[in-house]
Amino acid sequence: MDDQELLLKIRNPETRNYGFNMLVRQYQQRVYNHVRKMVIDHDDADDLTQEVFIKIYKSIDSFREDAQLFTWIYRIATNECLNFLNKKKKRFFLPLEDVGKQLAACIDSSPLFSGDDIQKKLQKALLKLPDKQRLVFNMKYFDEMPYEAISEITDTSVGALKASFHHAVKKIEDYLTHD
Amino acid sequence: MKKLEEIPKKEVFEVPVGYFDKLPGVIQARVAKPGRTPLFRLAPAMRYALPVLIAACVGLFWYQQNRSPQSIGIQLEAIDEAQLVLFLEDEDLRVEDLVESITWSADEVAELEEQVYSTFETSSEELEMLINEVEFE
Repeated sequence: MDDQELLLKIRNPETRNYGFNMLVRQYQQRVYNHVRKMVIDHDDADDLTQEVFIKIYKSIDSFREDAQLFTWIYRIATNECLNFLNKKKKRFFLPLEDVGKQLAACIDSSPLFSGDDIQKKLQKALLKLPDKQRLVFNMKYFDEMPYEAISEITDTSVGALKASFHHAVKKIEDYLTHD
Repeated sequence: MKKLEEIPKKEVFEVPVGYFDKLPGVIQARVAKPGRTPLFRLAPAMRYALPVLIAACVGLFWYQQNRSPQSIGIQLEAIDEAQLVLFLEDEDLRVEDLVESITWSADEVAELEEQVYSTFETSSEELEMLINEVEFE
């Protein structure tokens, strides 16, 4: 079912629940993966994914179709992730470094992480980046999204995104070499 | 320097078995949960009109409560005295009616008595003469 059909079903009161269920099935994996890469822990990712879809359900009528549905959903998910990480830092009065350490410990201990040592090292290198830069890196490198789409999601110019990605790659390669 | 492209790209984060089969149901259940329904729901226009209406009522009540007798006095002062005298003459008013219609406070009564009795400045001699003039049966 394409986005247009999904939206038609959701906007019709008689098929709203069915349409929304279809939307969740269609986008749940992409939203979860996007969130999980940011918050690392499965339980946090699960909570946030649910929150994202509840927000989507509540505000779908305000979606004006001047952007792609997928971009709009990603935008909501991105905001949820950044808010969550900010709250986490404020709640425990943790500096960025300590949140990074906490998430790195989660990579080491989680049974839901399947990567080998080099994958672990890559994920830990990513945790050294500021949240927004990590977000850009994930969308470009893992999700292989075009800069234009990332630009819409993050409200950042393509030029700034390219620079951010370039710096992120340098920092990661540096970490992989020296640590 | 270790190059990023040398690391194979793969999905390293896993989910519990059957997670994506259950998630739509969990979300649907949360969405379907009825929220707290208010006892009464205002029409959207009333949400704005009601506070204005309440403020107007409070304002009107306050104005009524604060309309002091002084303001009535000011209004009377604005009326031409000759017109006022003419009006009172035309009306069939008796002093008794006017007195009855006025509520006096204790202070006002005391002040009035003071004014009335102060006019009776009679000396003891005059008082004796008055008593002698009166013939008691």
